[in-house]
Amino acid sequence: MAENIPSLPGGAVPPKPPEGSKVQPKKETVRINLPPKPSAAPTIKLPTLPPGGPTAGAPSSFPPPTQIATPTGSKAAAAPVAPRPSPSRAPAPAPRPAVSALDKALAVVAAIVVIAAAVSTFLCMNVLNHDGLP
Amino acid sequence: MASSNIIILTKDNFAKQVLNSATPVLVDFWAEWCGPCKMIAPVLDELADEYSGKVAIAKVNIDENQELATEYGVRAIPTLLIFQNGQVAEQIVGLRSKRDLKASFDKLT
Repeated sequence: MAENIPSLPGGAVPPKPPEGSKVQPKKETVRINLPPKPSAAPTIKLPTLPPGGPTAGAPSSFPPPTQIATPTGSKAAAAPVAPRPSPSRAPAPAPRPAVSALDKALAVVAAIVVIAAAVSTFLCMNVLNHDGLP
Repeated sequence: MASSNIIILTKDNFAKQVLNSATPVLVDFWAEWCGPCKMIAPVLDELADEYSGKVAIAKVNIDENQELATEYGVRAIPTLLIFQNGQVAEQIVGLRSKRDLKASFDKLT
């Protein structure tokens, strides 16, 4: 039976360590699965300022509060958020300003000037036709 | 038998024993079921005795203190973290020889 066992090729034999070298132990480890580290530390949300602006006792050095997502998303940690104006409550567009009396007067004057110019042109043409022609 | 110089760490005494320690501290993250951890344990026992007073050696059982392992990003054991002045000065993952560990200690002391 022994002669039926093929000899291993030369490449399958692990290379011998060089003489005199000290064998280093394998860097053996065991992989472990632990819950991932929270990506962000819990944040403290500052209370939102009332719509009227900061009160006299409120600290003014705080930066404006930013919405930072908490990893847990607990409802208890959620700070009250100032209500945003809904689209239906958006202020109506400002009414168009009424035509002032000055505008009306200027319009009337312009109309009169145009009519006078047309009449004078017509009269001048008549005068030239009667006087200029032989 | 573990050396009496080995400090057993929990999340309660970690800050006092490691982060506020005046001397460098090697923290070994290990588990009972980890073969390489058991292999390195006698080496750490010897080093704890040899470097007593110069380098403290402590152990964290990751099964009992998962929070600490998670805190320091331990993904494989044994993981050895060498703390100096409250900061991780060196991270060693895997089985190492006593000579390698002594070389790391000698760099710190």
